[in-house]
Amino acid sequence: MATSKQIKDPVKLIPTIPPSGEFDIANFTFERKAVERSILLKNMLEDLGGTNTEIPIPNVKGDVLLKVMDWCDHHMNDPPTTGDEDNDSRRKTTDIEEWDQNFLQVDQEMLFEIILAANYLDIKALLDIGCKTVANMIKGKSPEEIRKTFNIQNDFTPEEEAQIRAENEWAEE
Amino acid sequence: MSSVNANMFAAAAGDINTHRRPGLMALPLNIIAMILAHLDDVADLARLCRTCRVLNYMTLPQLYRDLTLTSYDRIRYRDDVVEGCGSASPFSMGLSAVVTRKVGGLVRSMTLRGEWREDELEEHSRVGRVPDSSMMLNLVVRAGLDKMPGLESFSWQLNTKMLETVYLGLAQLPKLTSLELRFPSSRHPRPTTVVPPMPHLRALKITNIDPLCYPDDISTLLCKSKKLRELKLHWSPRMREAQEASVSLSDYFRKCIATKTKLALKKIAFHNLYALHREEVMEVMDPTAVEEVTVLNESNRPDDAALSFVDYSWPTPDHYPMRIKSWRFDRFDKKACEFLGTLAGLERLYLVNGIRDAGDYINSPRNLSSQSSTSLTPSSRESHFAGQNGTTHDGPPVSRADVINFRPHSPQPVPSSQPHLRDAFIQTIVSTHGSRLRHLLLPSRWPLPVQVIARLVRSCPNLEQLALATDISNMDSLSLVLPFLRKLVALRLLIPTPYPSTDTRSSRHDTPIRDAHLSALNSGANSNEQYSFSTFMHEFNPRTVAEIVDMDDRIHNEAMGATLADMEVFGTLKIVGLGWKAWELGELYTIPVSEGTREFHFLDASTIAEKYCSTLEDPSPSYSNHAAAESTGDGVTSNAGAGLPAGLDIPVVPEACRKSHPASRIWSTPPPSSLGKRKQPHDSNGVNNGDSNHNYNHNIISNRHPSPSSPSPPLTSASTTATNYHFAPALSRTSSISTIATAATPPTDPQPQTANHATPPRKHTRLQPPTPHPPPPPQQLQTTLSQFTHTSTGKPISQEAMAEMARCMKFRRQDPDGKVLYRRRVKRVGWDVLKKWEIWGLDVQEI
Repeated sequence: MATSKQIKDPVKLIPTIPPSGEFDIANFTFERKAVERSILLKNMLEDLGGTNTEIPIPNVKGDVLLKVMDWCDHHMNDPPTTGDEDNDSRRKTTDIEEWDQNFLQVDQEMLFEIILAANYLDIKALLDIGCKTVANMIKGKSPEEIRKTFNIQNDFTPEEEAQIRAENEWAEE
Repeated sequence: MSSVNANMFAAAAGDINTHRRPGLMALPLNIIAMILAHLDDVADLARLCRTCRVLNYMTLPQLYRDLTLTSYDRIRYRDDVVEGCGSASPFSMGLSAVVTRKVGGLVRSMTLRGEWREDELEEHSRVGRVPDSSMMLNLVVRAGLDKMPGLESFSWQLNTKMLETVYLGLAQLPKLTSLELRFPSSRHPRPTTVVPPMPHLRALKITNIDPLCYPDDISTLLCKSKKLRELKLHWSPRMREAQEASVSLSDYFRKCIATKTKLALKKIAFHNLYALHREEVMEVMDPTAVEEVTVLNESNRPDDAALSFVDYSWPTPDHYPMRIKSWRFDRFDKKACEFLGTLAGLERLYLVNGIRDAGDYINSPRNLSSQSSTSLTPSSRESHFAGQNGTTHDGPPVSRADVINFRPHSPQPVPSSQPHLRDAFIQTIVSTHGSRLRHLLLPSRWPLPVQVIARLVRSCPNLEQLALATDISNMDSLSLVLPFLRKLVALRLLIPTPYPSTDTRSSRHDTPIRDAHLSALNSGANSNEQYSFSTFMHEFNPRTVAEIVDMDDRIHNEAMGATLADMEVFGTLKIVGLGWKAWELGELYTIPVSEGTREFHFLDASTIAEKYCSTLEDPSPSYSNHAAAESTGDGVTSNAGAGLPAGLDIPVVPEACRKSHPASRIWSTPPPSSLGKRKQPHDSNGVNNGDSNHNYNHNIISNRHPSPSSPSPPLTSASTTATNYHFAPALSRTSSISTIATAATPPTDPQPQTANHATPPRKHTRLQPPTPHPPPPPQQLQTTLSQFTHTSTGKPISQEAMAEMARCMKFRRQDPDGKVLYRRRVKRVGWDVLKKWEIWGLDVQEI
């Protein structure tokens, strides 16, 4: 965990939604390099200058923030994304590194919270693997299984569903 | 849309707290779109479409982007239910959706393929009418095309002829850049259409052209499609089989010739072209624009065809200024060799192995049952009444076991001209193209001795992809030659395909090819002449090599993980192929010496004991005592020079040493040679990267050699991390190989992530537990060995085969402290990955 290490260049993130249970603000001090995995926070740090190293985080729950920063800490030495990853070949792959797979082995609520936090904090790589994880949960499932897994309400009439099934059956050959 | 988050695009983190049970629909639509973008299987997309209206709305664009409809001439069942039950066939319903729903605008690529049933075809042909079913099909397709303004690619692969109405629809499409047409294979009279020009067309591919089967006229299309850059024409092999020179290229280009229009084609591919040369054809092309040329011929009479006066009517176009960068062909005759010598600036050379019999599929990584074989069009008017007839060969075998066990019906002599031609081609490659070549695919019919490989390597230092056939016994020598290819990214070792005239399986162990090699290697500079091709082929048994390749993937994974861990030698390599198998290479990682795989228990107990002792007592180069004795004696000569001198320049192990004991052969790994060794990357030993939390047992060392070649597998990580990575299952729904890919080495034990990510060292699951010390008794060894079988045949792996396999493995890589062993992560990959690499993807007789 990030806080167990000696932090050379600390940045304090203050969640406005504290985590459940006991709350120790000391746990929210992170290495600047890890914080800068978030483009949002990186820009804020640059705008604030070198002196102010406390940033309030309004839209992310404390425990989710800890989890997200856990990922950032692990990946803080990764090369920055170049923006070229949006091509088809990259998007289609669902290879997820083992550490990240383990990292995302959480309940669905936490998974979605992490995805939303990554989206809000602009952490593209985390958002990417979060989306891949959800995509992998969809693969191979029947419509009913997908509905159950993701709490989706079927708003088709039986006739509509039969019609859609018939029209798209070519894809399921 | 009611179930979507009300403020879907602005939804911030934490909004889902308002829902009692979070669901996918609580996410903003932009994130849902990102998730859907990772679904590449249309079946998944189709099922997702049926879950709810929102997901239907969001998934349809992706589902219909690439529309492929397959028609079948019979009713099919899935899970005992008729396809299309309650409505029409999936093919018809797909077309119906395009015509009646608002999905046509989503389609970017459309493919129609399969068999279209035409009733009473003969009667219709007799009275000069197109069957109604075919006309209706064309009308519906036209109606669909009219609703596809964004269509960029269209492919008609149905067995029935495309009619004018569809052509006219295609000509009106504003974005159509790619067109593929299958011309009819039957001689039933049909209307012949003058294909209209398509102003935006850049790529045109036409297959199954037979002048007697009413092909459409493409001369206008070729003349007036000004943006055409890629032309692929495939003729029925019937004309070549019948030696019927009925094709005239001038016909296709007659309007270009008449209007003196020059085609600025960059890529040209001709498949089964059997036509007399006409001088005027050469005036149609702009020779300076052509960059890639493919000329393939599938015929089961290659020798006859090679002597055909028709083929030899074509002059060597050496007086044209050509700038060909890529040349791909499958006819290895003197004329081709001469032409190859005239090409300056060639960067990619692919000598495709022609398929003559089932044994030639031995190196194909594709699913055999899905491999295509081109049908002959009818050879006589009567034959079409009986439907399409045979193929140029017997077609792909059903299973891999059939290939491995394949024997030609009659003895198949090695053509006497082959050694000469092989040497002539090699000489041309070496002398004319050497330093510029980036890709080189050599046919599996040309098994290369090490001397020739060394020559190639020395002359072609910029190779990025290399495929060649050689004997498995040359592997250790290859590891000494390959470091000179500093840019090599993909290596493919083919199983030599010529079969000996007699079954040498039973006598294989009496005349090991390696000994023949060694005697040749020891014979000095003139060994090239003395060690003839026929000798090589006589003593070589490809079946044995095939059986080694067919071994359990776990064995290969372990062997490659250990052998390819030498990043000085194999650092740039990203993919390695062996026969029909291939592996992607990932990061380097380390394991404690105590957990190091003790070479599989396929040897006798004494060898294992010897191996254990040697590793424990002498942790730095982990040779066996036996091997050490060899390597320190006069048996091993390694060249310490900086380059490969002419002739043989590789370590040579005396025959006597090699023969002494199977185990001694196996572990007689020569000491690390300084030959061309690159410096170990600065941080490849110091794997901890200064992070005290990182456990040295499971470090990953990133590949420091960026690939100069495409494609780049998404494997390597630039980070230095403390845990194992492994590969997710392959994605393709079409490749059976990829779905059976074994876990990367080492198999991992996923654990739920806790808050502290500094995971404790995990125990690797290995083929053999790391503690069998002392070694098990022979009976137990047999039991252990029986766990491993040949994948295709299911037969237990013999000790001899395992010994041969193990001989190629090296386990000596350790860190300077002797505490850890290096391993390379490997993953078996299938055709879906390999097809992107040219030395695999272009090694087929397809344009």
